[in-house]
Amino acid sequence: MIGAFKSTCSVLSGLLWKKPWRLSAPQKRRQRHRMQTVDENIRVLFEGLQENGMNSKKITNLQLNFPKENEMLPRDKYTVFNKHSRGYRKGAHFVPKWTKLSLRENPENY
Amino acid sequence: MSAPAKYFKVTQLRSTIGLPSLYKETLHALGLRRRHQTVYHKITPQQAGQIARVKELVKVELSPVYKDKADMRAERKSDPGFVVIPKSI
Repeated sequence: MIGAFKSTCSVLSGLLWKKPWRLSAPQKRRQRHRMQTVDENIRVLFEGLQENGMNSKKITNLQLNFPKENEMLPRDKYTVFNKHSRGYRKGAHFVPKWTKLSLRENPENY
Repeated sequence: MSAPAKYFKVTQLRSTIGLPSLYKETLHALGLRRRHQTVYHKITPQQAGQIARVKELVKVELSPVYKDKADMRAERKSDPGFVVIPKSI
């Protein structure tokens, strides 16, 4: 239907926001950059302590066991586990505040 | 860097708007209230742990020297091109 009375989704149901099911290329690029900043922060914290002959259980654990951006699979960078989704994955951008969180680890066996 | 680093230079890059109060309180405890604000903290495991809690919101660098607010402000000032000599000389 064309014209003033065309039946589009927003006309039929009011406000409609759509989120694509996957991240776009620039979104993925920005995600990688944010992850690299976090990796760099962890490395700096670890090295700063090491230089001064100190250590911290939390920082050492982050440095050794926290997944690094360059070692992660694209699947883990851009999607997260979700028990309701087909294939048990959903786009990372469906998690509230996803740009300010580290969503890097999967539950065991997923 | 030749001199050993003694301080963490922490710059807040991301806002805490809409985040749980834990993040806001941690940044506040570190002396950060707004984006692009920088503070220096002595390297200790306690400070490192606090910074690690907000690692997604800040950028951490190592620094051999401490700079307070006045120092950072003086750094930003441009050269006026003249010197004011006191009258008494």
